[in-house]
Amino acid sequence: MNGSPWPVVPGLVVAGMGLSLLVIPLVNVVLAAVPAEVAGGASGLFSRAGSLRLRRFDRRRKGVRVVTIDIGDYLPVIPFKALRGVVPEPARDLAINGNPIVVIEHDQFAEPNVPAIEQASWETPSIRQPSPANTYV
Amino acid sequence: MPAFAAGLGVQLAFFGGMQGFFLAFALWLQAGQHFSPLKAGLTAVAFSVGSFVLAPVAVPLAQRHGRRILAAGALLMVPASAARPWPPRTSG
Repeated sequence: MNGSPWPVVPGLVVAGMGLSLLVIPLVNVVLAAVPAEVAGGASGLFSRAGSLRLRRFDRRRKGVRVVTIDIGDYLPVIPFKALRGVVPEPARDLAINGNPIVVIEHDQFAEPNVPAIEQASWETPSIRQPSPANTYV
Repeated sequence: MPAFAAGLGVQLAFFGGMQGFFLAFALWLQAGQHFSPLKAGLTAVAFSVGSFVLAPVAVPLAQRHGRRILAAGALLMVPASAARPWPPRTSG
């Protein structure tokens, strides 16, 4: 490199071209797969999927594990089902900044029947004061 | 809806990888290659230029060729993102 950025520029340009070919049609592909009446929710779930962080799975720590938007009646909790094999109950009355959310608790991994809205608290200290160690994986 | 689930998975994996890549890339440029923040940012503009070029034709291409275009985009990104000196040196 020796202080010159040019060795990495061609790679970056090609990677950017790949980004366009992947990300832009991906929206169409994803939204084409759901019924039109849930396209709004599907779009929101899709855009959240890009910024989703899964908390480190820590058995010693109680509290909120994963927060995402409400998936509604039509869409199963696909990402989490794929990742964890667990389908939580949607917490329909819980909202953050106007977005309905689903809170998946640590306990739900063991007992899927625990009602999410009563067990999960958005006010848990781990959320209110996130520490770098447990905020992101 | 397997296509929807797969799309969410792609989106999750893609942006997770993208952000991880650019964090490491910025650190490498600035701490490793001793670029100034401005120079490192301008280097990353090359990425934007590339996406700028193909953005207008991405949807027409995808309509014509279907999901193969997505795979092509991902395949373009893999070697291009890896196309840098290896092992990365800690000093330029």
